[in-house]
Amino acid sequence: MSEKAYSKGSSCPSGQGKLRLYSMRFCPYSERVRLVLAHKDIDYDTININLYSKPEWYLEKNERGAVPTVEQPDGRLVYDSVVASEYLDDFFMQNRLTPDDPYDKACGKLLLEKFGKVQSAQYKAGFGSKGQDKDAIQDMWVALDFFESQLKGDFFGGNNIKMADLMMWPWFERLSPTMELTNEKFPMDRFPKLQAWVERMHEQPAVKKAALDPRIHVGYSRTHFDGNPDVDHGL
Amino acid sequence: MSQKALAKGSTLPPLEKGKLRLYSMRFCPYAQRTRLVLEHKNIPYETINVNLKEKPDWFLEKNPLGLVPIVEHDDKIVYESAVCDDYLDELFKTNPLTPADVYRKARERILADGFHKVTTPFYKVLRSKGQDKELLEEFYKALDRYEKDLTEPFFGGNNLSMLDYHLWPWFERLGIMAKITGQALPKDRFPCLSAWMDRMKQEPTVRKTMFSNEMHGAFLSSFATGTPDYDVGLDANL
Repeated sequence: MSEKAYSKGSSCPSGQGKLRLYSMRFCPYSERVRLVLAHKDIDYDTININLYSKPEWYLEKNERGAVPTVEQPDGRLVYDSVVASEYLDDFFMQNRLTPDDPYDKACGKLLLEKFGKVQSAQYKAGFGSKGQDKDAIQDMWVALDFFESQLKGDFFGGNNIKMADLMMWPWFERLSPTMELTNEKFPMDRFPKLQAWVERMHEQPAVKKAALDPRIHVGYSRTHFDGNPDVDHGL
Repeated sequence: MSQKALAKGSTLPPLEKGKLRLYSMRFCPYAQRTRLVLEHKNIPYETINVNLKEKPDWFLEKNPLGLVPIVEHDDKIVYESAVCDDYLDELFKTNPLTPADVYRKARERILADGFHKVTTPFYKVLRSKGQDKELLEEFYKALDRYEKDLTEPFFGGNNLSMLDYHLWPWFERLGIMAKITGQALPKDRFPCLSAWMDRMKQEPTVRKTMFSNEMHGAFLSSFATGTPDYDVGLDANL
């Protein structure tokens, strides 16, 4: 199946009897679900959506018009990224990502709530300001200080990778492209534990499968800054 | 334990080991969600009401976001109403509120997550003192989705679920909104929601945590002055 994004005027491709993910190659939220699917070895088809010229049929899948959306072969639909990720973890029992202990599970969710500050700072620094907002970079480091302090084991999930690790990964993947786009440097001395975690995550099969090369991220971002986002960049 | 809200400078009463405590505010709809869950599951708990305008230092140590509800027991702290409610439902097995079917669970989460589209215009209407008809229409438009999705007696099906409790507190406040706007929720536009509201008002848990329109009105009026009276309605000798 082609990775090229479906745009306005296109027809919805017919089902292949497989689980389907509606996605966009550069969307960090979609990547969350790709990471979960990869971690759990789930077989699926991807339909990439051009978010800048949405196909009319897509609104029937997700009335918010957002990605990601997961569709079961029988037409059941689940969105957005966190609900879909948890649904997949509930539906497919192997390689469980949700902590068994209710308190650990709650802590993972609260970690994600706090992560919003990192996400918004990164957006401001990049797409939001075409790489010009230096204050946003500083805000991102301040927000990351908390995560540096919270990392007690090899992963945020403890000894093993858990949902929180995968939910946050896409923004860490976009750190080096953000540095290149903003002409800044990642302060390694400030974040030794996070640096080690990033390296560990790079070795994870799920990350290897779902991550994009930083150069492709940079290339896409530049098309975005130019006002003409090319969602098929790199294909 | 007194229900009076504790403010800055107050001493935090110690929490006994093994006991579960809820940090709350009597009129907070988010904290009400968690109260409904606690009552539904018959979980024994004590309440500390917090003055959210003059926040005590100990409160900010528990939740740096400075918001209620917070659930605390045995050195464990959980906040954010949705997180607290899921936590309680997983920890205590009585009267489960999360659907066993994982797809139903996901669909209910979608409706819960989308509810901010209702609460945002809800507060806009209240802040405009009901004068802006366009804002009221915006609110009704957001409710249309929930009317459409309510195909069973409760959002949870034949019995109520977490989602019913997550939505309820704002519907409880529609009475005071009607007084402010001069317009009750149109039953012909929202027949299912209207019937659901009547059903919910019969639930023992809802009756236990509910306030009258007058009480909501008294709190809202005090809120509008800039000095919220968190203790409105409490007896003077408590």
